[in-house]
Amino acid sequence: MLITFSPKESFLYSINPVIKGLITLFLIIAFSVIASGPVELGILLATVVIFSLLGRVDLLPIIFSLRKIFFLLFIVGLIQGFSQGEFDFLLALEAILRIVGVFFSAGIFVTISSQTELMYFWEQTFRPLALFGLPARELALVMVIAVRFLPVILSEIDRIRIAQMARGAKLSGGFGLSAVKSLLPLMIPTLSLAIVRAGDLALAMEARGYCVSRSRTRFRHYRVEFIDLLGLLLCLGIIFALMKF
Amino acid sequence: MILFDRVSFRYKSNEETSFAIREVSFSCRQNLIHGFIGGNGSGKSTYARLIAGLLHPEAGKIEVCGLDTSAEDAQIHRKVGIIFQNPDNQIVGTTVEEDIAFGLENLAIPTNDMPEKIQQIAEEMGIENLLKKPVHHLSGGQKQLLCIASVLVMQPEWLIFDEPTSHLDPWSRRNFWKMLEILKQQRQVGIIVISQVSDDFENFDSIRLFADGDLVFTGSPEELKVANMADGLIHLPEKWQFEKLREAENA
Amino acid sequence: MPEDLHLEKLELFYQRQKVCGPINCRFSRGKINLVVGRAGSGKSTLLKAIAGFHNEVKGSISLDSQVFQADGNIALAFQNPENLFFNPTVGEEVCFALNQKGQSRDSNEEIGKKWLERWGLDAQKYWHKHPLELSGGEKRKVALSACTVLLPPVIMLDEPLAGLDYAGQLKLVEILEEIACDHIVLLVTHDPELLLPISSGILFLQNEEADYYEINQFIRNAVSSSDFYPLPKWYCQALRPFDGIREFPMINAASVHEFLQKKVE
Repeated sequence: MLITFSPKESFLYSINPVIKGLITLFLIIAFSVIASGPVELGILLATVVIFSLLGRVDLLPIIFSLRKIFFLLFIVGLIQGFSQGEFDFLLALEAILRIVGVFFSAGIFVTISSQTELMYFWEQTFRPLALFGLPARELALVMVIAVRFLPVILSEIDRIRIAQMARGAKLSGGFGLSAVKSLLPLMIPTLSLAIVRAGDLALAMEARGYCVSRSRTRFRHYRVEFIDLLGLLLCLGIIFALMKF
Repeated sequence: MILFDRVSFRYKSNEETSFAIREVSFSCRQNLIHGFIGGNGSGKSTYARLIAGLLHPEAGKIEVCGLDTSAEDAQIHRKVGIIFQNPDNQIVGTTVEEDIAFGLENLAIPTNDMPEKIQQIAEEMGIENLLKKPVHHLSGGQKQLLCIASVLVMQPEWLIFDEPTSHLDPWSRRNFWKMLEILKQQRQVGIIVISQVSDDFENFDSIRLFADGDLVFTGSPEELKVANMADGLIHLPEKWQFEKLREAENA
Repeated sequence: MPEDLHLEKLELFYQRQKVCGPINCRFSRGKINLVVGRAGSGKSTLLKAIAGFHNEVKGSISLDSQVFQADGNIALAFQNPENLFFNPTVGEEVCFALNQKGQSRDSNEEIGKKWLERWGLDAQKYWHKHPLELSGGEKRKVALSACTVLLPPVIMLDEPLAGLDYAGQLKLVEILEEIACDHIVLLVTHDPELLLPISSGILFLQNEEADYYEINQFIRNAVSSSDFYPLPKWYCQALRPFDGIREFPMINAASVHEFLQKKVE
């Protein structure tokens, strides 16, 4: 099961995308650096889980994906547990909770944010760059197009891989230079098709009236509502309450 | 109305495309389906790009709806919509509605007016229940409909299709022509279809045949059917050849 | 020489959803075997499954009564095989598959040239050219040579005629007919008209089912019912009065005209 956007109606989904991103960012910081014990981290994680369940977030894919990093968790637990000489269960638990917390926060963010919202988030994040003369909206559009073409190019790579293997190409094996060389039958056609695609897309965008210098309106507007700020404050409040000074 | 007045054009780096357009003049009327036909490298797609203002003539003048394509790019892009062969290379949005909105954003349509326009065009093309869908979940046929919707929403006066039928299955091909007929009747648009599929020819109201960049024939399908064409220039539909054989026999 | 590729109760799935099946048919040597169906009916998946690149499969595939081992026994060319070029010369492109297998370069070159000639290109003239300098039709022939040099018993092609002009298509049909003499050729297409004369049968994928027809049976069904498969309307109209005949004329003006003249006599 992949962690992807799964649309639902709830208070969590309707938070302003930028606030969503900020809350996630704060949670990730909280889980990774704040000085707290396993109890506080446990409470924070439980709060995150309770809120997402209230917000009708489907946590199953996230829990399933957790299995993939199970080994990593195990190792980190061991290393942290033995860091003081004797094995300390609480230290091991704390380390594991930190990773699981970061994983959950990011996973939930991805589950409740649509492509459009992510784009809007990126655009707002890029906005400070405008001070240096960089075009925030165009950069965000580049991100969107990258995301848009990812599945197309992935399926294309798969087709090219099969076709080249049918021609007897061994696409793996060897180290260093020979490994690179064995990938050429995959890389070169993929790249040249991507370049053709990019050219076609640029032409199609121009034909549909796209022009960097012209002012455009936008299909989606996201206003920051009072409730969004409240959510952000609530999140910060919980984090501060659980911090050890 | 499209007007070509002694238009000349050649590609700057002309290695693969050896043809050049030399002082070609013709005009196309609105409310008809025009077929631009010819073999590989005949220049038919180049004519489409010239009309859409994506390429500009070296000499001569192209007018679309009274506007000079070299001088008024922005207006031309609005008046002429072009649908390329591969839908995957022209869809910009990640969901159906966002892709339709892309053109409206470029036209600086106010945000509040967009949803209605999008809904309307989606209903016309029969994709209204796909609006929220990610585009990579669509089938090939649905992607083609989306491309048409995304162009139509800008209310162009001309629609150009670049080899729309060559990769479709025979069922989809028939549906495409039905849809085009409806489009022609319901909207005040001129339609240009670029094609080298000979079965397409009888669906055109008017045909222009290109070879090596030159315009070598203009006329109706009936006229092309009986015209004396040089060998190898174009393969006439088997249907026409059959009808000609029958007529010759009856005569 | 291979004789036939036998699919028995072959069922194809994609992400546990059934795509198509059960397929029961024999693809034999001597003439082309066509595969037709709407977009998304599972034609490409079938080719991939036979080639061993699609594993969600039930049932069995056998070559001359032996369990079929795809590895090294197939050539597979998808739509627009010229997109796969990655070598600087036509020669290297064509010989790539052979050189991967080892063997001496000289004998590989000989085989490569033989295949280029077979697909209708002058090997000497093209050997050192850059693949991307060629015209569309030439590229297609180089690509098909490069896919077939290993001389596999089973050759599978997806829309090899698409995008070529009429003369190019005719030429390719001629070559395909020759290749089918000593290989089992499977060909997926949306335009069977030109290929019907050189084919022995058609596998028609539709509504998750697959039916195999002998060519004349297929044409008869299409002529008598327009819902079966959209062959050209003029052809169906002209032949509808004769749908009881054993052998149908080819789908071109001259053949049908000749056929009708004979009927009148």
